[in-house]
Amino acid sequence: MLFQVSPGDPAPLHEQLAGSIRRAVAEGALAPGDRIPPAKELAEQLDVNPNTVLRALRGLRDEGVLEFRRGRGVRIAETADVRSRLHQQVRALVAEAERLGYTRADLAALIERTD
Amino acid sequence: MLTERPRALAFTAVCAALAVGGLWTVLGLLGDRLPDPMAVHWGGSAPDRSQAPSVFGAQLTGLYLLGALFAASIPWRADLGRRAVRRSLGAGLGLWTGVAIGATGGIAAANLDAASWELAVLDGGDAAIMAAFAIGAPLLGALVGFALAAGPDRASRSVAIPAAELPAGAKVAWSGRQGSPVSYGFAIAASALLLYAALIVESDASVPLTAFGLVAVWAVYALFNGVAVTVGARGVQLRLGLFGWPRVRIALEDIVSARAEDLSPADVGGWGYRVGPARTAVMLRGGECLVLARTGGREFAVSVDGAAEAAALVNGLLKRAEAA
Repeated sequence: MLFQVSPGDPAPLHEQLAGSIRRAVAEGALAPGDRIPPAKELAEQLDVNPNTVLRALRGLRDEGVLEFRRGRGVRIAETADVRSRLHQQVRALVAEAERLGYTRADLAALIERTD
Repeated sequence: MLTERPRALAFTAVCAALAVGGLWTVLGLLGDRLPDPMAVHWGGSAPDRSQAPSVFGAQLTGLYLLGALFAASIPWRADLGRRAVRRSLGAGLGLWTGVAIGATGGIAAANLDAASWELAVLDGGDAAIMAAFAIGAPLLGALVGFALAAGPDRASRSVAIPAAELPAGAKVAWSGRQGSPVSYGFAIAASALLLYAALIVESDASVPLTAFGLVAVWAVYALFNGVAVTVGARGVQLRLGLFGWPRVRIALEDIVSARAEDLSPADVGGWGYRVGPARTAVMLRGGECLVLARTGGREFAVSVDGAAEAAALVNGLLKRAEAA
């Protein structure tokens, strides 16, 4: 799969990198169980700081898209495609709410009241 | 010859008929002139192991057919239009058939008219006949098979890959991974064979030898059960096997161009890490390979899914480096 980031883009690099991995999962280019190259190697090949890659990978782990296994590298989680889609929808919802003038707290309150 | 599947299959069938038919014809025709059991193995000139002719025949038949079945599957797994594939099939099966015929002829000649298997001693004349069968038949078989493989070589299915358009300033990397469908089967089969050999050979050395063999087999498995490939600013990097080690790195400065090409193990000399006269290859399965033309004139190939995408990125990075 292709990883792509643009330093000229306003979005932070780690967000762009996470985005390209989410997209690969959503489009099926990466399937559950597939391995991601070690962060150090990916950083060298992308010519970015290793911390940028680690930040992107940790973020995806917290979303449940990636699994870190000691000694066995980083893999796409079994439920990654479902999780990835849900997170994309939430991000879209937050962006839309901000555009309409709602704060994240307003949105959270709205979600709380929804049954 | 051998360019079409039916012809390749017919060649396999003829070989099997010669080897297996010849074996049972010899055992049948010479039945009353061979001792039962007969000598099947010699230490120096004295026979040291015997088998009933029927058991010997059955074992040799089974062993031969295993190889012949493998040969019969080649036309479905590789492109017979490639001369290298035909030569591997022709010479390999010819050699295998020669081995079977040589074993049949040599062992029958040594046992002929012996009153019992212990008396089937290899004196000067017998030893010469045995050697002629053991060396001559495989050699002849391989030469005949090689000759049958002649014919034009179909142009390789090589795809010139245009450079990927890289957005200005964008940082792009590619990663791909290729598992090996044969490595696990190879390791299991080789281990079973080693353990079987250890059981039937009675020797003080068999335990350390078997242990050494098992370690070697599983080391090969660990090395070649897969390959991870990345492409990016640092060039093309391969990490081999279970542990991602050893690594192979080819810097962009050392690459002239990249392309995708369908290669089979027969094109590069087999599976695994292959160093050929013009090309080094990491071959885990036949099919799509990323092929890099290097500045020294040599080529480097690695079998990996998505090779076309990787080649486009390599060419894109090369173009960008040239423009800079």
